Amino acid sequence: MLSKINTCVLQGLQGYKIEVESDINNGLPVFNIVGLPDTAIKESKERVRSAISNSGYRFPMNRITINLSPASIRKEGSQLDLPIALGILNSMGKINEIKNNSYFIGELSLNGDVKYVEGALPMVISLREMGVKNVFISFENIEECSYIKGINIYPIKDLTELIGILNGTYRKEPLEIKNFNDADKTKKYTLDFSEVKGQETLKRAVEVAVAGSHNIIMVGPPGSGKTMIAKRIPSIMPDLTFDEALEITQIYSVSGLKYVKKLIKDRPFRSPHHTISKTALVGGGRIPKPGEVSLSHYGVLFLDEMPEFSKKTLEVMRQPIEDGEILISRANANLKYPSKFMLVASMNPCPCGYYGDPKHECKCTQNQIDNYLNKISGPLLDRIDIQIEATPIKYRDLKDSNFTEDSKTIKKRINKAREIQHQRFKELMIYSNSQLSNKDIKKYCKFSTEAENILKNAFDSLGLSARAYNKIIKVSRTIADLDSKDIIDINHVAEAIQYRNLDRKFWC
Amino acid sequence: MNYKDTLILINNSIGPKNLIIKELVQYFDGEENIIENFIDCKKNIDFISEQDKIKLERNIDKEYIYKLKQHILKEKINVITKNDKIYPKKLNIIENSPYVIYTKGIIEDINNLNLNIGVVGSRKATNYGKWVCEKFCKDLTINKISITSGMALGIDTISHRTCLENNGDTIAVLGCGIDVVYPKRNRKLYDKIAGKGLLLSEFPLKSEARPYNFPVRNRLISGLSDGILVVEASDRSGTLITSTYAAEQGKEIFAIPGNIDNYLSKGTNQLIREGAKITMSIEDILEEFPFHENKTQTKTTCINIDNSNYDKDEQIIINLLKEGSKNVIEISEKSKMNQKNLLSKLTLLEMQGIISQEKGKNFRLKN
Repeated sequence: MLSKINTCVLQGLQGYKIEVESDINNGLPVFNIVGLPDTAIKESKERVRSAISNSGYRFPMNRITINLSPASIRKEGSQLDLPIALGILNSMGKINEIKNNSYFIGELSLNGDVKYVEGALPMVISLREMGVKNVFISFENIEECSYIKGINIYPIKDLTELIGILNGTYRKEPLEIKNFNDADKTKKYTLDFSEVKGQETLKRAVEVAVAGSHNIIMVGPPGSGKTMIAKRIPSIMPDLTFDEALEITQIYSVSGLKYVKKLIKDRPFRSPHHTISKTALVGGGRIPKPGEVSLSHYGVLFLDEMPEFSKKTLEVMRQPIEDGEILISRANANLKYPSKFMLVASMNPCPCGYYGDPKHECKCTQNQIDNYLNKISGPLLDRIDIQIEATPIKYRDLKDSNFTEDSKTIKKRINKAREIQHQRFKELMIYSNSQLSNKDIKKYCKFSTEAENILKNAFDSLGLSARAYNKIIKVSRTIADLDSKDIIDINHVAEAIQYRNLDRKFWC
Repeated sequence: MNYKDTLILINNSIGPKNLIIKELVQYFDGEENIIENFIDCKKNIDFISEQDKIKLERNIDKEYIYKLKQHILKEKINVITKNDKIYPKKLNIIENSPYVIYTKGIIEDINNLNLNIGVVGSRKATNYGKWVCEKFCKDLTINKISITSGMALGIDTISHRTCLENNGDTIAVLGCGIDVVYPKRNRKLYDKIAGKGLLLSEFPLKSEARPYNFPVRNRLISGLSDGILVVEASDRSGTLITSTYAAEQGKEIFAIPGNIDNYLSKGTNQLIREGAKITMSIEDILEEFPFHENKTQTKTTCINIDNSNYDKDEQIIINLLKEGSKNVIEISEKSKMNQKNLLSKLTLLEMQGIISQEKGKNFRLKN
């Protein structure tokens, strides 16, 4: 008897409906799976066989054929275990009725338990978008899926329970949908900005960067607090909206990072080591997985000691920074992952770190210094809006500091500035000033007459390079937003100019 | 072969080994005879190494000197030899004085420059050094004193640049061939000096910069100058070699004092201990040259700024910077201003030309 069971496979974050057809015929006992399955699916034969017999049924000693349709899509993932087992049981006549609009996602263990599946969240979301009404998932996936409205989700523990539900001997209500309320968003950060003393300028630069989601690079000798400040950035990042949280969780769900089993409510902060490979950074592999640029989607990607990264690794980031998504093409698949992250980078001014420090002798030759700085190419530097120099602080300054704001106060200002940006860019489908295209700059950045004059004169009198022009405008837009001003004023432009240090003549 | 061609040929074959040339001249009784008789007599000459003999012999040939002269013409290089009228007289009296020098630029006769100060210092100057160098070079130029330096990075570059910006005369003594730009990133400066000042070298054409060239070059910097101004030097720097030459040649040495904890002031402070003149303003230099005529009154180091033109915050910043250069952290600590206010005020003051920004977010009142 032939039976058809619906399920889902993923390509990138997009789910596709798959029909699992199973047929039991007379003949020599064979178990075949056709329709472009990958290794994990081929192995599912053994799991399905044991799961069925250990759930109290006799596995048929007949010719069993499983077809995964459409046959043209390459299928991968262990979630096909459950639909295959169900198909066989249905063909055996053990199940009364399976509604047409029901989908099954789950991996089986040998004793019949339904286990965690990678990427369950993006599958459920895709199915909902395709109008699916009922979906059966593993009990272990409910944490991440419990916020999805508009679809009935049935968490199941094992095969016996599922058969009971389908045959009507066991009643189960769909999963109760949780609310993404404010109460469970507040997380206590162990690191706080009030612990950073003396580096007020650097802190202000970071505040502006976060407020407009501008990429930022901090340059300075060792011990100037670059890393310390970067590590505290998560504590001032604006709160996630539900849609953002969902998007991030989808990425983590397919990434196979097992420890993420529930909805992610904090902005990611990724700080890969500088030995990272190109593939690990942007994603890839035989079956492409999201890389660090996607894992830091809507969050921070922190590259400590940026010139230590291999030059090629850094250059591959150019396109994801620009487009906010990355298309990975491999023989097996073409996948698109989002990558709207804020880049935070830190670097020393030279290999030994002390170039320009009056108290330490720099041991590097000019060539070494040039080579070190050249590792960060012009096009990459062009994509970094804020460039600020950090200076080491004297102990005296640390001791005397009396006004240090805590992260909460800073975050409040940032949330307000982001709110203004959300309102302004409603129609544009962007969420922060850093994403403004050159075309839209004119429309959204209005200057007072004085400010415009300052901007014009700055290039001659301060020796700024022309490539800084649009960056200064965008950053001054953010500073004006922090001030809740609609028109960009003279003070805003003047402050923004201070955040373009690497462009200045005195620096080289 | 004539006198000039002979010297060009020898210099390009064996390098600026002036003592050897001197002996050759004595041996052959005049420059003109060297080339004709060299091959015949070479076995008897014992003051030239075998290697140099081979090099010289290979080049004794009309084609070679013709090609060199074509190159000299094409690159607009002047060749000045010891017997020429425009040969700098000051170089005649130094030890190991060069027989032939190559120049490129618009200063025709170096002897016409009335007073010449050599400015030397570290390649990796600190903000303090950069500031001092700019200030002194500007004042020297205003007083119609020409500046000689070595076109290296750091202090050398700043001194040439400041001098040219103020339309002064500047001489760059190179440690490589006159037609070679070293360091490469000074290409623009090289062209500018060739157009407005003078490039000078005693090294063979097309020869690359070698570390051992620079001490040799330094003796020409001090030789051409009436005094040496040492801006910044670590305790084992090439700058100190120049000042040793200057002392041997009997030139004035002016050293700029610095903080004792600044490693680039160790050399200059050491020079002061050994008797160099401690130099705090341009007057200290002018004092040593009472016969220099074109003295112009320059501003004193004390900075007078009319406070009434600035608002309260700007006045606070200006008053703080009057104490000396300060980092943005120090300014914010002492002024107690909030960051957004402070940063924008700093930009505005900078744009008005009151203060200038240096590496490491340092600020300083302008000269």
